[in-house]
Amino acid sequence: MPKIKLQSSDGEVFNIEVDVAKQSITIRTMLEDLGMDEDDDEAIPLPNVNSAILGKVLNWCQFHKDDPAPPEDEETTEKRTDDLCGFDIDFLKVDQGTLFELILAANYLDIKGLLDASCKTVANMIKGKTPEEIRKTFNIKNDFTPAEEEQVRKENSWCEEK
Amino acid sequence: MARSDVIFRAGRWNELPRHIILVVFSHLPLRDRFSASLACKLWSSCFNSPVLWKEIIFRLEKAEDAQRCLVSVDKYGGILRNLRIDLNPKDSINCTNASRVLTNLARCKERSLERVSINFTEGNPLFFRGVDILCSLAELFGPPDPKIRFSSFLKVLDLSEMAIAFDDKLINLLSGNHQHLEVMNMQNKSLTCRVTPECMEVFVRKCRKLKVLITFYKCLSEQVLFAMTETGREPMQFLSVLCKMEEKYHRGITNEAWSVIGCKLPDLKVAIHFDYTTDRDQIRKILLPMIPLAELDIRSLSDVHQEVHLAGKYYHNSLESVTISTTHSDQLEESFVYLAAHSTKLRMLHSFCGLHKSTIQSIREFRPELQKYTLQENDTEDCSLPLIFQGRFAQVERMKELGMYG
Repeated sequence: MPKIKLQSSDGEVFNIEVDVAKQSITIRTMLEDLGMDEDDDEAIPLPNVNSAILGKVLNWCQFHKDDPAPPEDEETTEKRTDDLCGFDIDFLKVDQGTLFELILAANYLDIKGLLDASCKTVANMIKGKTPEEIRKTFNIKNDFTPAEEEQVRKENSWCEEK
Repeated sequence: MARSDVIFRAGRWNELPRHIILVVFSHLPLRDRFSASLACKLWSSCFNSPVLWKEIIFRLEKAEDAQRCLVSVDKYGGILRNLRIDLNPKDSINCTNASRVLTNLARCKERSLERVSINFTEGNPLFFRGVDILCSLAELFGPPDPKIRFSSFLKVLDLSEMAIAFDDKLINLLSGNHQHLEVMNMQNKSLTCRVTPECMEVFVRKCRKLKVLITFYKCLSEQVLFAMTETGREPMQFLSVLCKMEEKYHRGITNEAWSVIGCKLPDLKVAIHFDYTTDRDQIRKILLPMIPLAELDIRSLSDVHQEVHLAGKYYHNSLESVTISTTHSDQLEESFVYLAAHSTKLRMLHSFCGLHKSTIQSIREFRPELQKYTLQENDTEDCSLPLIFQGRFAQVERMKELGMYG
């Protein structure tokens, strides 16, 4: 099984099967652009991902390497958030800082399945919460002035189910 | 950089790239999107992104629901691609509100509508004709105000769960203004359908991209079928018809006509449903050997075992799904076995009366590839009348297969 080397931002090198790594469209494109041979000893640099996160991402890719390709973005009715597989649920039971980094990594590496799963997890963390509770969960600073906040609330209040 | 710093650093959620916030928001129901929009300025700005409003399901269960729906239409009507209205017709206010939603949508300066479906969540009240809904649909499908720049993107229209009888008027509006239609489902539960074959023929001729048509047998004629074979048009893939007693006075389609259709449209699959009002004579008149029949659904209070046997004889090369609701008899059991033995493509088989264990075993042996089935053992001598079957499995499976559902 051919392998390639990936190097994280903090210099750690991961030796990984090509099939596993190719779930990242970014890596797949790099391999094609750089015309890399599977025998090449050069590691592909990934300056936007540190070793801790890259390790986790590759772990996810390993588990999901036999998954069918995700469907092209179809207009689907009311996207579900309750259909995460057991592995993903456990995998994403991390502190929100790590979850944040995983999302950014999945975005940078263009791994649709992981991005989708993490976004669903975030959505589940938002459901049922008030704005203040949401800010607390995600450590978000409220950058509205009271007047601005009132304005937004009024504009969008039609969504509120009575 | 020490690993520990990196792992436990809190995320800067209010700096997440917009397109990611939009993915998160797309998984949130309206009420939660509202709460999220108040968290910070960035999240708030994502709330109105057109990406999130391409598909809206309007639920009209009570009077208060209207306001939310009407505001959605005002704000996002122009970018809306998939429209679904679920309403409870028992309360007339819901029908009025549904009309208002449709009318407001019709008056939007821009239109992006591609899919429309209207669903009644409960049965109609007495004396319900749905006139106001029909009027607003006419406005939605009709030619718009000349001041409005309009080109139709409408691809899918599903009115199967809207139990209002419509007539040629609505279909003519579609023929005239929405010629990109690909899927048309008008097979609803209304007591009657007043659409004529002549009107249907024009519809098929004008909508040259139509590949799925789900309608009533009485709306078809040989001319309608021949219109489907015109050169230069998208080949019809699926034609489904429901037959009711009124078909008695219908000219019908000859075996020769079906033969021509089968030749010119080799990929066409036909589904025929008979409801409880049809009789055996009618069934036999309609079930002709050259129909490329993939689905057969017979609901009958009389004994149709001969018709089941006939189906096995005529359609063994094409039958994929069979649903039979009839009275029990030993001959029925034999017919089922005969049908299963010869129909190599059979994947769905539903029998609403119980069968003997040996019959079920034979069927399973002949057709191990059966995917969905209702084959229940009948222990008692007295077989009670089959339950009225709600819902249409086969149709839904077919639509999913064609990528047209959900």
